[in-house]
Amino acid sequence: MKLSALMFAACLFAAVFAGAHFAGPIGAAFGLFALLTVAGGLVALFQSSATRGAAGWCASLLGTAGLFLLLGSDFLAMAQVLLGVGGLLALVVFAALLAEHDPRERNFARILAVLLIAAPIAAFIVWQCAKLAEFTRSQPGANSKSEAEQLGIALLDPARYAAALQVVGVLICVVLVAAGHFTKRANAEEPG
Amino acid sequence: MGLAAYLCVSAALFVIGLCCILARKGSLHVLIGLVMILNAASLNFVAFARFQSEPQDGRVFALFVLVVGALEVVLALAIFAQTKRAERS
Repeated sequence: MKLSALMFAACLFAAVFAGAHFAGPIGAAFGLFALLTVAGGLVALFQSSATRGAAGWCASLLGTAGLFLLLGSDFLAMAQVLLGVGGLLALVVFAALLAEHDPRERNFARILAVLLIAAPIAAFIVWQCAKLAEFTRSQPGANSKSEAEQLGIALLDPARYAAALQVVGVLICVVLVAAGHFTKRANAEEPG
Repeated sequence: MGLAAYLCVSAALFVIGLCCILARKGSLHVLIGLVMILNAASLNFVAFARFQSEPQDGRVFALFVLVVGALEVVLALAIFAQTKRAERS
């Protein structure tokens, strides 16, 4: 545990200083958030305890929210923190407390084998995306309107995403009713 | 930072999520892996949107992905809780 904490601290310093060296303060922030995202995911992958895995997942969600901030999407970052960290994480931790801990469930050999197979596939995807990225601008576009205002206009515009927003609203309703139905049926089946 | 840096982080997150789904057997770890993959997709949407002239499209899709991911977790946990109750009784 101490060794992994030391390794994490070393990686953190390396990522922040490398980012600061190549791109200044923005690069340092990017290094911090990227490391938080990937390291949190790795903790969730390798931890046998679901509660500790959920803590790693929380770090990953916060890191992604930070990357959203760096990309100029402050509303999405706020939604990620509120919905992901505030809502989903509480639910997952609650379920982790209900679940029984099975230490034999984690198998390092299986995890490493899947990592070795999946990593070249991801490298291929990044390579293809980088080729696609050549067609995009190298500098982000400037816009005077705030991101929340732009999102609101796009979502409520009948010619753009108003119909999709209605579909998502119906989906939310259906899922909440279904979750309530599951819980109610479980309560009704319980004796006494 | 350029687009490629964000794509690399997104790909790493995608691989970790995929490994969580394929290599772990616990239902909670599989669920966490699924949400990580959705997060990687959202990050890609927002990163590509940032470097386009119309950034709203990618952000709207990322918002929808976020909502659908939350709904998926809610439904999966309801099923999980019911399964646990059925196992106990």
